[in-house]
Amino acid sequence: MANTDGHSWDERRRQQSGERSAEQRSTNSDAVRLARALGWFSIGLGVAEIAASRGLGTLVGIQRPWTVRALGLRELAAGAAILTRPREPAFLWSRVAGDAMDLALLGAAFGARDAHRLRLTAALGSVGAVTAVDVLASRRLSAAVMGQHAAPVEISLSVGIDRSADELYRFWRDMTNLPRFMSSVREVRPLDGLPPEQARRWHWTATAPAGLLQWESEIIEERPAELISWRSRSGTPLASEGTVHFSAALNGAGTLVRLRTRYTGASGAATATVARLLRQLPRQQMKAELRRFKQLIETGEIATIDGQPAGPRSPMVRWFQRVIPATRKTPAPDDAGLGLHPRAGTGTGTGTGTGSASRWQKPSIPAGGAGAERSISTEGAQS
Amino acid sequence: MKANCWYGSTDVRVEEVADPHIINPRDAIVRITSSAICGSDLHLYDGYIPTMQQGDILGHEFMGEVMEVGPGVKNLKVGDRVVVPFPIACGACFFCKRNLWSLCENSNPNAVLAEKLWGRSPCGIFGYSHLVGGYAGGQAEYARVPFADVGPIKIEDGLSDEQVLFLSDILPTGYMAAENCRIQPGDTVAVWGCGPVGQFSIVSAKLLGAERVIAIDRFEERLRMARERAGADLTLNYSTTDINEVLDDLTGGRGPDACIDAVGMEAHLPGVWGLYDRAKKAMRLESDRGGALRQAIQACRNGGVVSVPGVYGGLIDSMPMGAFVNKALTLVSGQTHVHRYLRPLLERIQKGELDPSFIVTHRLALDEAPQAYEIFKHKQQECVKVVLKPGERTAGRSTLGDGGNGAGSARGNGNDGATERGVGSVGADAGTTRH
Repeated sequence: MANTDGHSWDERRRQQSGERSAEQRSTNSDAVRLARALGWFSIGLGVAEIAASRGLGTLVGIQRPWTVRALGLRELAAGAAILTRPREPAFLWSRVAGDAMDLALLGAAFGARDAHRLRLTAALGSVGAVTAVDVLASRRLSAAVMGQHAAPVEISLSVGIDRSADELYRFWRDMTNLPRFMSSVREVRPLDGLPPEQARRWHWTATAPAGLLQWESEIIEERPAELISWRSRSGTPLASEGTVHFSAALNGAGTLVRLRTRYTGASGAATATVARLLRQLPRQQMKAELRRFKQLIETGEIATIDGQPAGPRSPMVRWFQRVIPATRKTPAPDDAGLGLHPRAGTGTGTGTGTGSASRWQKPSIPAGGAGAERSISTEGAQS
Repeated sequence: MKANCWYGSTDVRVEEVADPHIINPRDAIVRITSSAICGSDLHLYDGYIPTMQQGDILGHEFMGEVMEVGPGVKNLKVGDRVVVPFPIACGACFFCKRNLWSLCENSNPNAVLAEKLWGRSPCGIFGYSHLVGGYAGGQAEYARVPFADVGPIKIEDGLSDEQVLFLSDILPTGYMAAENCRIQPGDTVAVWGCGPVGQFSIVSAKLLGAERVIAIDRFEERLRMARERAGADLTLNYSTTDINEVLDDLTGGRGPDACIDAVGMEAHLPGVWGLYDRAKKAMRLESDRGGALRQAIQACRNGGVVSVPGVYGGLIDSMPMGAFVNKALTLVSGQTHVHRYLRPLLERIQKGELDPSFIVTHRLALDEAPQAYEIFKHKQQECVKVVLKPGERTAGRSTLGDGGNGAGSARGNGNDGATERGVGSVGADAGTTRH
């Protein structure tokens, strides 16, 4: 039943985006053509500004040939950049910045005693018009390029784990286990009322930068001790597909686990921008997650320093720690015995500098004279 | 509790910090009775190892009493006296099962970071930067020990702390360095650096049957210790002797069968090479000064072994690859697989074949850690090894020199020679899995 409404991921992507991608292609080439034209315009203007700096200066009302020549050099550089990389929005945006500079120069020239108001006004008008074209072209190019970068992200990674394929398969097949090592996934629960080993439809809850993210997935293929494939159900904001593959490992011991995922972020310019910026992140994150999977299976726990003591750190270091490692996360507080995290020692509770406030009886001599109140910090103490 | 924390280059401070607690089921908490300063801690102290963060607790050579165990630790109980190996190893992964404990795949929570720098990650290590996990170290009153069911070794008889403390790192490190030399009867082994690891390399090379061990350093007190306590047959002061000439002369022009670089990344060399390395380092064109390693490669006999227990973290310049290839050398290194050596070395200590306590020259309270680092770094008071005693009150001004050194005088300013263990390695472990 699960497969009846299913198409391959590729098919579905083509269907969903068929119209839009045709439109996108034309936008794309239009935007690039416009960029090229503006690039040539830059070259032309640049040549004129350098070759005929005096005449052009007089025409627009700026009587400083060296300034005009410098502007010409800038135009040449911008033009060359745009023509070599016409799909790079940053270069086109540099024209907008140049326009702003020109407008400012012309504006300033109004204040000069010998200002040619009429010529300056005419020049301001034409630069203004060019600016409008530049802004429009830059925005279109940016949008087109963003559209391209929102294309699906595909990641494939593998890890060797010293357990049988069957054992690993059964662990993964019960998807309620996944949050135990996937740091951003809060909960995965079965939707179809079957026990977890048989359930095919799942509800996922994950933390995302913007808050909680929820979606549904279904298992589309399963071969015991070999592979499990799932994908998000239509209508969920995050279109994704994943396969985990178990095969005989290298060195004849254990299992090679290969995880492949493909997803497109939610649509919309803002998310596309974010997706572009964070393009590398999913890969890093997935690698870290596979490593934690291995740790959990092989050692029964996940290596962490979250909650250990440290000397007072500067606020910047603390910020850095919070932002950087996703690796720092200790998931699954319900893990075998992990419930015991007695965060007591880390918070404000103990050791406000009395030195001998340890939970254990101190050795013979209490640490003398450590009465001074000092701040006490703990790695990643969030709560 | 009190802990010695890193705050930057030549800046360590004893701070009041939170007590550690059990985080994972296989953790234990140890109350530390003795904690040594390692030569490799000086690399952190001198700012040579990246990814240290202000407030990180230092120390990876420690022992003490078990105060608390997680539910996954069945082989230890509260009150047990244990020595803790500096590498953190799970005991279950590919490498642990192959007796290559310092390459444990499951103990470095920051493996991503190490992979960026070295391609692959070694195990997690106590108090040795976030490249190897950022674990809080043992220069403190208490420490959390992950995988406590695998690492710590119980000490049940009347051996003193100082007889067994160095099982945590430098004794196995010196031993592995000698073992990696694949010593045959009749062999000559040359050891660069007579710091603690150098001393134990000398002891081990003799134990493993080397006919002649030649010790090289520039501090007379260390050379004396090598001769009188470690059993070196011959000592050479490189500041007054042409090493190559003497080594040639001693070996019929052939060179030592094996060379041990127990110096590492802060090598001090006289002459042009010394200036070269300092200049390169100053211009950030190399991260490690590789003078001792170059000398060892140059001096080694054809087909010989260069064994590197010294610590390297990044890149050295002018690696004599031509000599290495044309002389058919074998280069062996690696973080020490301490777990592999704990029991056999403890047995040797119990039988009286080995007494590692001879290297200790200074015993100080934990509070005195900052002075201790200065004394050790500058080899003041003929310092070879400092043991911090976290349980004891500040003993006033620096104390307790012994080992027949008397008060000694402050000597030398270079942060050179005689390094110990920590991060980094050149070459691969050859997988000499004996024991």
